[in-house]
Amino acid sequence: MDSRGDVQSVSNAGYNRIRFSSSKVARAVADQESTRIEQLKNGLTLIGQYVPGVRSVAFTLLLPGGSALDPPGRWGVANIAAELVFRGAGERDSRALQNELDRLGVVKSITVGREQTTFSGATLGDNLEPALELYADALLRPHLAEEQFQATRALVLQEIQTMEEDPKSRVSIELTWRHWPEPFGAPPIGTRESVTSMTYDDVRAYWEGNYTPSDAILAVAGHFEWSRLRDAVQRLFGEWHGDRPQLRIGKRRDDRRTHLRQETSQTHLAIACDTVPFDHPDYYGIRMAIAVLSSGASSRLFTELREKRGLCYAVWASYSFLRITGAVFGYVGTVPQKADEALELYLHQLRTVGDNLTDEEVERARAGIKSSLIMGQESTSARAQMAAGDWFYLGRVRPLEEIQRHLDELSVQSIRECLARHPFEDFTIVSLGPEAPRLLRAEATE
Amino acid sequence: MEFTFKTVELDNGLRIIAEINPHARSVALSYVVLTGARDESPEQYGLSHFLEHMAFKGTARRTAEDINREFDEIGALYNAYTSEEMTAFWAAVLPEYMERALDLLSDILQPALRTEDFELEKEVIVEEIQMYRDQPTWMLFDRSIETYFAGHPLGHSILGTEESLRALSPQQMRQYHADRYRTGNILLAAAGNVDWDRLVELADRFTASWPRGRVERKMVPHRPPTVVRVLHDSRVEHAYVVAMSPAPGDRDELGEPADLLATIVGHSSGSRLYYELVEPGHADSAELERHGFLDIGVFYTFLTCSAGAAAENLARLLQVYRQVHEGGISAEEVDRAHRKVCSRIVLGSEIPSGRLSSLVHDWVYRGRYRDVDELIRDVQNIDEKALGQVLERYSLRPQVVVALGPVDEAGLRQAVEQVFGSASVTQD
Repeated sequence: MDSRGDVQSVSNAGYNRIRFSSSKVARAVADQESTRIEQLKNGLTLIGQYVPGVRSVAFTLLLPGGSALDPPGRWGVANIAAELVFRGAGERDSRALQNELDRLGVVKSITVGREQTTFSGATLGDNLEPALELYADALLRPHLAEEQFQATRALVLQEIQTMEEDPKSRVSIELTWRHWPEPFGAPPIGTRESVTSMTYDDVRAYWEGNYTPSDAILAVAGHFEWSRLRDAVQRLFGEWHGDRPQLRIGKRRDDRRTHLRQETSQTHLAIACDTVPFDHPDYYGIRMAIAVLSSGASSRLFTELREKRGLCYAVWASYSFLRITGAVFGYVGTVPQKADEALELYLHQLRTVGDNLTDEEVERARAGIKSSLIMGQESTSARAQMAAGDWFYLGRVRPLEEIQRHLDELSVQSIRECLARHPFEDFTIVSLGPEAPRLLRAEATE
Repeated sequence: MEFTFKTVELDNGLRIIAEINPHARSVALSYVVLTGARDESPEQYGLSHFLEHMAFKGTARRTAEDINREFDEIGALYNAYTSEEMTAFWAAVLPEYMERALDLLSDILQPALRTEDFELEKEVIVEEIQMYRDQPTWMLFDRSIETYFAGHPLGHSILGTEESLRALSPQQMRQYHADRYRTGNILLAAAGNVDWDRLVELADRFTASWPRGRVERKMVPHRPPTVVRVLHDSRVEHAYVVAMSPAPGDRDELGEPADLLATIVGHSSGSRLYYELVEPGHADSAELERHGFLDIGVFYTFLTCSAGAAAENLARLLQVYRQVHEGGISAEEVDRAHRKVCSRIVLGSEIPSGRLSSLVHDWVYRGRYRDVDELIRDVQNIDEKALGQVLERYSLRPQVVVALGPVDEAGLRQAVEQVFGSASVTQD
């Protein structure tokens, strides 16, 4: 069989023609010249980034859907499906499959997100093909044994208990649930009730309906040979077929501010607000504003809350996104008597980040983002994940130079304009501790 | 890979080591001071870690704000950590910022230790202590170490307690710094795209005025107690169980074989504990690791599961240990573990900051350098015989069991005795 007959070439416009102004950037990006992208007829996109000078190879197989495709009220189905497919597939039972992964030195990681499930692996370059064979078995030919479903469910119920007893995880779960619209809010791991009530058939149906190649992505980075990879992928995934249901996007919950009473040592505060999605023209400006708030130790939150006032140990804000929207998610933990001050100051920092913004702050934020971008290129795993994410959210893989150019173009003025268009306001807030902070008490009595 | 290793001792006694990889995009630098929680007397508990925080609060030339700002200006990925035996300050930067990063790191190793900064930073560390108290896993970790190393310098929390911290004075810290931060007690390590000649020249200049001399470290032998203990906390409904027994230390030839044994028996996936407890859904985690110190080590087992099943799961887990002692490890398991570990060594080595920690560990604990190929060869040379020696000299039978959650103490004790029989040696 001529496998190439089924492969269409997708051009990644201008990728190899880019010229780089700075030598540092040129060195970092020159390696990427061999980025190759092809799409199989069944809809699976293959992305390959050859990295010279490394022995490892990393891959990320991204399956769209994730926990947002869980049946209503049965949160956690996607999560159990992703665990279950590796518990016996193809010719191997659960143990034989796991042992073979170890024998091939594969570091496996599975992340069930809200819009996608990623099956990642990293190993020595020579083991790429046999490793991909195991992943193809898991996704296409899982045994889905019922006793393994029961065991996995028992395991997940205990994991939920462990997470709930960690106040930081608990506030973060509760915050996200209140902030994202349905069906993205619920935790991918599910709840005690949803996991208890789920059936084996739910998981089987999830696999049948959603483990399909349409819009799936396989990104590979590191030490490999493109033509061999392409043939292997065609052989392993070429016969895979099927579509995926459309997501129905609902509303956001009404109870966006709440206090969870618990006798903890600290009051744990989780805060969110809306901002632009990843593919928005103002994305880079907003990312820089968030970096000004919370990247290095000279950033605003760390300086104002921790360094100047000793209000906390942990404080941060970060950017998170779905295809349809983006958000700032943040956290601060403080002893209960300082919770009011910490929360009010935290919100104030978010609201006023555009005020008094200086060139120096923008310069530092830019240096931080650029430097982690370049250092990220040193990890084959990070590269594979970034390429898969870019393709999923943007439909292309951004050259490093493009990101650098966007960052270089930003100034105090343009960042303030971004913030004026998308101010950080209208906060979702969840607190956990012995007593509700003043702000949440006031709301509750309204 | 085309890595080169270089080392030199400066005239002032400071040792520098570097592994140079000209293809790396970044350079990682670290000052490692051989001082930590185990060097603290009871009235100093928490001092090493507090001093690590104070390093960032200002020097003769820089305010705290200057330090934070300058690290961010060069886009540095940087931090510091304190363990029982080391205090390390590190930064990863693009190669052109090596000089600025080294200038900053060198400067903060001679902090001003101003009284007003000292009092404010105390509040931050109190928050850090409170944060860990809200996390069952951390709380249990501290309490289990306290129990196992009761009466030994390794037996207190690195952070200290709120009480010990409140009692500390700036004068104590200045004295501790003068005693421990001496050139003969500090290692400068670098990995990645290092300009070696420049590094040595700069280090020579930046550390010229540092206090010189070597520092003694007292090593006290330890005999752990035999204890089963349950801690209750009204917030905790799940069971968190730790079991500990003696293991080889990091300077012991059997240290790395013991690590491989722990991988085979108790790695988070594909190990005997995984197949016996986690895969069937009895427990959400069941892991075995070796925690190594210079002179001693501990086999550390961590189990989490429903409280009602804690004793039963502990018995299952110990049954696995007993089978390991009775039946040994198969050649197939050893082969699989070799491959598993070697692949992870290669993956970790491709990032300079990952190589740096391996480099520092080998130098401090084994007094030598190993490149990636040597690390791999050494792992591959660990055979069933070496694992047999570990099992002959050390027992996985727990001496200390500490649990957190609504768990019955008698049940845990029974589980130990049911599998291993009564303890042959009991300490008062």
